[in-house]
Amino acid sequence: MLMTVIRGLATFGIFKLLLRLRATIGKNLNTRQVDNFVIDVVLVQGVSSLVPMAFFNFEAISCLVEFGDFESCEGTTWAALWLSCYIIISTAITIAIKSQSRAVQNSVVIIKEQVVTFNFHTKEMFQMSCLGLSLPCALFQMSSLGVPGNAVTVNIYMGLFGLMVVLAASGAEFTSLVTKSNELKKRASRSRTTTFDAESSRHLDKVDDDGGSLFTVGAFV
Amino acid sequence: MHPYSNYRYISHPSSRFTSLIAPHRSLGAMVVAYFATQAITNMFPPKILKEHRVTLKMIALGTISSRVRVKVYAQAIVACCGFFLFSQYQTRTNLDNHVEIAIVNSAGSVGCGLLLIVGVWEWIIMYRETIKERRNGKSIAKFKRQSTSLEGIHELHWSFRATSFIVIFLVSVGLPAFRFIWVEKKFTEWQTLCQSASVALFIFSFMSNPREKDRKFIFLLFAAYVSSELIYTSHHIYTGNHKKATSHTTRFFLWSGLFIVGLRFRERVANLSDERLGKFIMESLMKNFLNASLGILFVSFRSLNCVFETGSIEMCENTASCSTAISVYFVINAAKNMVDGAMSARTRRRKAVSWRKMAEFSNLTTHHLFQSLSGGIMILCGMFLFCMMDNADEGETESDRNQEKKFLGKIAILGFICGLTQFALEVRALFNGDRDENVRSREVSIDSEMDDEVDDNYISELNDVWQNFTIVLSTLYSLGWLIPIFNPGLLGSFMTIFFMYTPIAATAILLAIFMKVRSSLCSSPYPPTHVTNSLLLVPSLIIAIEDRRKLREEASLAIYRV
Repeated sequence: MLMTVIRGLATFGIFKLLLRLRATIGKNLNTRQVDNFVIDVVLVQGVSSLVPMAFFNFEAISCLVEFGDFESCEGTTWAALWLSCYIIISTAITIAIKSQSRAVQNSVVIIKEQVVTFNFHTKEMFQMSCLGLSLPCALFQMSSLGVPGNAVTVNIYMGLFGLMVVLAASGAEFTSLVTKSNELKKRASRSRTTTFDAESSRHLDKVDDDGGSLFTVGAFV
Repeated sequence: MHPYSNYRYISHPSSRFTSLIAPHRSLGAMVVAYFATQAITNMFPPKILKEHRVTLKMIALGTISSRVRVKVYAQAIVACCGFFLFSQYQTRTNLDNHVEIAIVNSAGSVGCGLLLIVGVWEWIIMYRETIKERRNGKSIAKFKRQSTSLEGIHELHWSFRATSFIVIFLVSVGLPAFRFIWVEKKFTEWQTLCQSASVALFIFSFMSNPREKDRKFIFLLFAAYVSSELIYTSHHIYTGNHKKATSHTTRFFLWSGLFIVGLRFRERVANLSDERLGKFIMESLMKNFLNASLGILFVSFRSLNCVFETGSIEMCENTASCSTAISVYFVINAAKNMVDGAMSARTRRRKAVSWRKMAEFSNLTTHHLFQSLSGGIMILCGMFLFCMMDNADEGETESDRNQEKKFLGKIAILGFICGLTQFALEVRALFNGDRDENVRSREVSIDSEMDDEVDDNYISELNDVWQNFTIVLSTLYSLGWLIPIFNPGLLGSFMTIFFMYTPIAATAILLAIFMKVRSSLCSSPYPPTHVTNSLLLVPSLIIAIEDRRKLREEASLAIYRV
């Protein structure tokens, strides 16, 4: 019963957090940005994320249909579950990133040039390490899909480890999003008094989107 | 004599690992060889590289030298080797004997070898050209800029039609003939496996020369294609199996009907302007069918791998049926895209299902709804059938196989009907397009005004339909958990299925929250998100109740034992 209460509280907490995020989007984004957000992020990316989940589940269901017993397909089921979890987290992070202004997005996402030159800050280095750790976990789960076997324990622990790592990286991303957003807000409030600050903030707004966060792409992989 | 030579390869303990990694090793070697050759090729000057680039237009028109032709054939063989090894790798089965390992190794060697031979051959030629260019001090390379215009393309090279005809003849006449000469059912199975490729080639060569007035070749092609139906009909009439004879006759008439529609479509394509015809042939025919054929090859190699594993196509009947069904879906999709390519830009824009239309649900007609729904179901059926492709037929009993076959058959037919509906809607849209265009042309000014309005028509939230869809997904999930309460015997299997379904329900709720961004400015959040959120707690409660029930049972058992 204690676990149920904890689960309930956790679900409620996440729900409240998401509602706050939604309220921020409603206030911060203009009509055009909301239009892009609703269609490109929520509808296209959201519905697209359901397709691989359905595919993973079909792998598990086909195994159940084939062998008829849960024991043979436990590994596949766990693999489908973990992979779907990674997809949910990456979808949630994408929503969080795209809900911010372009200036915040540009300051938070890791771009290709940074990866090529290996020019990372501590937070980015941490995220890249997390990506490096979670990628083998995801690939291992992919290789377990549709294959009957008894290596369930390895599957569970590897998936759990991957989930923890992805959650840590997402937490770092979410924290930096909030920090950068607050920083820019403070700067914007100061800029009302000085012309120079207003110029710089306008310059930041003009920076083009680099085509999405590499972190998000990696999490999808 | 080696003590293990008469036994299955797997029986030798030291060979077990080798047999498992053989496909991985070969596939890995091919991938490395590919990237290595690409890396070295990219070191040559861009001008020389551009000159050596083989475009799809060159292949379509057949304007390629013998060396390039060899290169293209070699690349096709490499692709086949890659698909074969990938299907072998994906099934993750142990190779049972020396012959299988030898074949896998040979496929890897052929793939790597061809990549390297073609690569080295090209490097030598490019190296000579680079040296010549340097010696002369200026570019002597006849750098002919490839024309990007598609205006001059009215037909594909005759070799495509000839190849298609030979393949169709072999599949539709050759295989049935072998089946009746040697009385072997396996030829029918092979024909079923190759049927979709044969249909794809038929459509491809049927549309490859739309302005050709002489229709002899088209009718000859059709005669070759439907002759198998006629052969089977006459055989079944002879043997007294009237049910099957009727089925084959019906199929013959169905193909004839489709052929007549195809002739009308062909005439319509022939009337397109030169530029649009070129675009149609390159984009809608060449690229589209190339993609479809790659998909067909990929799934066919999985079936071939099964045949290769078990040694008989009868044992792989279910895998082959899945492969055929998925290939048919590929062909239907390619045919749909081809019809789409023949539409005018305005009709296409009006008839296409865009995400914006889906988000608003305002400009959607019955055509859009049916098309997206049938397309979605076809994709789901294809994914499910792909997951059901494996080598497990070998260990199954006859009754199990038949039961599975019936189930797979139902899924395949559902997908086929949906695909056909989608295709029929597309054809209807094409033929009704002109009439609608005429009506619309009278309202050009109004239309342009409307187009201007669309640019300013921003969407602030998704239609309620989407939120209701997510509510249905999450509610079904929660209700599913209630079933074991009434029938505890189902708890194990239901828990497994609903456990897997949890991420989908969670994603549905996550999306539901952000579908109504503007409603967050109201005092309270959109009520259904609260409802769906509270429903998420239901499974937790059921698990808790179940745990408690189990604990009580164990306690009562312990008391009873004491």
